[in-house]
Amino acid sequence: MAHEFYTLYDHMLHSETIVYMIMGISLVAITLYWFFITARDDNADE
Amino acid sequence: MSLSRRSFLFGLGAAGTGLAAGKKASAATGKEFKGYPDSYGVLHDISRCVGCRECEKACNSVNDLPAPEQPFTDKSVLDEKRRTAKDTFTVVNRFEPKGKKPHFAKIQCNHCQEPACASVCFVRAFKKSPEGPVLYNPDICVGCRYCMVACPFDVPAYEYDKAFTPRVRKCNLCAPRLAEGKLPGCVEACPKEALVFGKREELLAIAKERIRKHPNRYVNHVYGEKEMGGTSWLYLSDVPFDEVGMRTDLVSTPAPALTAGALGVVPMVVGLWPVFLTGMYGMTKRREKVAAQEQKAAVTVAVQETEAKAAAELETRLAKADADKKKALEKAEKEKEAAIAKALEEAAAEKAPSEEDEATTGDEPANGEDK
Amino acid sequence: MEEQTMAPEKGLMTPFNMIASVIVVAGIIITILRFTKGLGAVTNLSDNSPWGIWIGFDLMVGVALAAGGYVTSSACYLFGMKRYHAAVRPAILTGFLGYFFVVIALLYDLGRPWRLPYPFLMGWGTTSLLFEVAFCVALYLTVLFLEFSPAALEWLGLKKARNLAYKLTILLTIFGVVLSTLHQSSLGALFLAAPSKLHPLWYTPYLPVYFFVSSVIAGLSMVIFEGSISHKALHHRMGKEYLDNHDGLTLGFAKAASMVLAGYFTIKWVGVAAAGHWSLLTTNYGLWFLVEMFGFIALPSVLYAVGVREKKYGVIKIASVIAVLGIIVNRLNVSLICFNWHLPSSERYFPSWMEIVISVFMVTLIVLAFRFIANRMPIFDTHPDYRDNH
Repeated sequence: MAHEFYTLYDHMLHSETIVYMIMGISLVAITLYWFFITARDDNADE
Repeated sequence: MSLSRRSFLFGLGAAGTGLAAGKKASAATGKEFKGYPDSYGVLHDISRCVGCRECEKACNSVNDLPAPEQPFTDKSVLDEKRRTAKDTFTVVNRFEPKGKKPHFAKIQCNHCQEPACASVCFVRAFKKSPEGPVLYNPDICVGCRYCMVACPFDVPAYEYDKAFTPRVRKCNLCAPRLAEGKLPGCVEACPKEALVFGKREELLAIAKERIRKHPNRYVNHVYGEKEMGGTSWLYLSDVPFDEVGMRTDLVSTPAPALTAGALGVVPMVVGLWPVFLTGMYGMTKRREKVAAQEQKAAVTVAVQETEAKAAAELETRLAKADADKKKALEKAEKEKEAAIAKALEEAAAEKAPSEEDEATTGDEPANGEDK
Repeated sequence: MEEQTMAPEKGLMTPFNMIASVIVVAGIIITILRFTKGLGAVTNLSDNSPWGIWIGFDLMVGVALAAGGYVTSSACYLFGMKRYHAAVRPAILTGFLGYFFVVIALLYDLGRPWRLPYPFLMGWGTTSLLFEVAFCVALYLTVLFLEFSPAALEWLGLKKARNLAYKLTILLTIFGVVLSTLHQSSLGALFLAAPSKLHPLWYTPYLPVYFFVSSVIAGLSMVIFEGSISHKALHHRMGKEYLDNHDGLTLGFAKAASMVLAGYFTIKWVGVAAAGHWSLLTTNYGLWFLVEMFGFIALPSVLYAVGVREKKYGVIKIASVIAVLGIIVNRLNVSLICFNWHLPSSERYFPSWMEIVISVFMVTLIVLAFRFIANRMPIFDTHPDYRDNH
């Protein structure tokens, strides 16, 4: 992709924006995933 | 076109040296970034500057800046070192290197290849344009002034005196004029050809050629070739650069690379911390649950043991009570029989002595009375 | 201990209240000046020194000292140290008020404060660590508010809302630790952008690590410090659980702080060694570095250790004060004192008296808000309707 970006700044702006989106989605996703995994836990002693 | 005298039709000079290899920026990805091709810059030959301040005057005029307190012809201004300010996008300073004639050097925004201001701006108010100028957008700037902290050349200034519309202020390489095919105001005004406008790569070639041609005149360094990843504004000097007020302790790392490492850790923390912390929480919960279960089991066992013990004790007591009861009954029986026997004995004994009494009373003579 | 009382009837004209009133009035006046006449009319900020004490103290120190919230809640809820449970609410309250007033202070410093939402709306400056700080602080302030809300909802008698907020506790705690790690370290990382301006003894790629580790120290020490002040000023509000566990908490946190300070001491020397800056230690700045290292890191570590060993609570309290001062010194060093170190002293920054008043004003407002809330809401004690909130 180097031919698309002439500066390190342009590259980082592009890639870091994607990284932030991944972070946001993954936080929500992993939370839901945790609830999925533990949904049928025996929590009698909670 | 006034471009021809100072611009990039260089002919013999440039052709022989080939393209200069500017410092290439590279990311943590290992890729290299060469900068925009055909982007423009300015070469400032400090050895040619005479401190006339015509460039300052032109800049002031071209940008419609307010007139300064002292006119541009006033040379006493040079007695003090100045930096760029909110209404002064460029300044010429005078230096007195030891044993040499006074030198003059112009400073302004260097329009870095990888600008620190753009890298640190959290609202994207700075942009390195493909033509070369680093442009500022006052319409989205929040006024955090991080750009001023990050700029290694201390270029951006701020309108602290404005309450509602303060802006960051700096040279924009006359981008609007460039778009019209004109030269930057300062370059056009310079009477000594101390400023040359052209493509950065060609300017580097010119600079190196000048050094090559006059090795005893110039310091063997093109300032701005590599500093902070390279700048669009390049400098030549006939005295060491630190003697004309320029920082020679700057790294060649481009600004975005300085913070790329720290920025790279962020998604690692976001991806892994929740897993680790949930794990800690899970282990804690499990430990507590097991501890609770063990405690419950221990309590149950203890209760059972106590109950069993109590039952056993009860049994023994009951058995003992039974045995005692039997014994008591037997004893009572015996006592009863003994008592009866005794009573009979006593009764028999009572009777006998009275018969004996009667017998005994008959033997003794009475007083003449016959019974 | 079951009955909750208001502040004992001392009357409003206590010495503290009188001083606080003066500060508040002065603060309001300078606030008006700042927002009608601009930064230049009130501050000593300049083109060479664009960041002053509103950033160096209000923001940098403020965020560090508000770290007690994530430290205490993670210790209790994630690492299972139930005996710290009573300290969670006061720590969360300190954290929430700390961060809230960090944002208020930021509004004073920004050139155009009404544009604060711009990084989220107009253009994500994702290459900037300041973007990351802004994002994290905004989210974390929300987290703290939600973690604090059960106390307020209990006070307001809103049971359903309170129970809902309470259920989120673990999720919020985990999210809070993630966010805190990020923004505490990134505040340090901001200065990585300026290697030519920060003195080499303080400029190191390890800056983010140092800021994060020292935030843990700040959190532990502030909980001890705040606890000892509240113990005197808000004793009438303290429930049995808090009082019973107070000494145990002090010892436990002091033990942890001693160790973390020792670790921090070690990694700071690693930074000097890695850069090979030994010869700088004999300069004036080098001397100051040694003062920071030995006077504000090693000393409190040892005092904490001795205090824990001998069970001397007075020594622990002194240690916590010195540790907190050490955090303040460190943040001021990185942002102001050792920043622009190469400039001549005539061009160096010193705060104006009005800047100082505003900073003191912020701290005063935090204290007043803390006192107001602690006097009314179940912070140091449990609400009678929610006795079993374990």
